[in-house]
Amino acid sequence: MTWTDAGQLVAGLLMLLGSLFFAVTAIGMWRSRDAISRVNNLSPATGAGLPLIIIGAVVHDLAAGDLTVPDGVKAVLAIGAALVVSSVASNMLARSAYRSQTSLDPRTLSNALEPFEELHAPDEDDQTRR
Amino acid sequence: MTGLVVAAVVVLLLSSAVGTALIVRGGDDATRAVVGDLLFFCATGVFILVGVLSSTSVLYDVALLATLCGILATAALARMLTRGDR
Repeated sequence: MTWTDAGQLVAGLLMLLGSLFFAVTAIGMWRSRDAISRVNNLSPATGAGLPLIIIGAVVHDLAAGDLTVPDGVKAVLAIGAALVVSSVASNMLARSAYRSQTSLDPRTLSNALEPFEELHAPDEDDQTRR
Repeated sequence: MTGLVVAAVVVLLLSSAVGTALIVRGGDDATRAVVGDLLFFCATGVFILVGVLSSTSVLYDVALLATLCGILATAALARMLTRGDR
C-alpha cells in the first residue's frame, strides 16, 4: 500500500464517520418530542459531521497531491464557519423555536428560560418590538 | 476508497429521508424549520462527497459559501417563526 492509497483510505473513513454523525442527528430528531430538543440534536451534524467531511476531502486531495494553498485556506475557513456560524444560527433558531411553541416535552427537567420569557404563542398584533 | 465515499453518500441520503419523513409526519412549524436546516447541511455534505468523487474544482468554494451563508436561511426562518418579532 502506497502513501496515496493509505491517505485515500483515511479520507474515505473520515467522510464515512462524518456522515454517521448526520445519521445520529437524524435519529435523534426522530426520537425527540419537541422542537427545542431537535435544535440541540442538530449540533453533531454541524459541529462534527460537516467538518469531518471537509477534512476528509482535504486529506483526499492532499494524498492525491493536488491540494493548492487557496483551497486549503478555503477548507480551514469553511471548517471554522461550520463551527462558529452554525452555532449562532442554532442559537437564533432555538430562541424562536422556544418562543413559537406552546408546550415543552414533559420529560424536560429544568427550563432556564422560564423566569425570563413566558411560554406563549406569538402575538400577531404585537408589532411594537419589530 | 470509492466504496467508502459512496457509503457516506448513502448514509447522508438516508438521513435526509428520515428528516423528510419527519416533516411529512407533522409536528409544529419550529420542527420543520430545524429539519430544513438539517436537510441543507445534508445537501452540502452530499455535494462535497460527489465533488470528491468527480474531482470538481469548485468544491471548497461551495463548502465555504454554504457554511458562511447557511445562516441566512436559518435567520429568515427564525424570524418567520416568531412572526417578525425578535
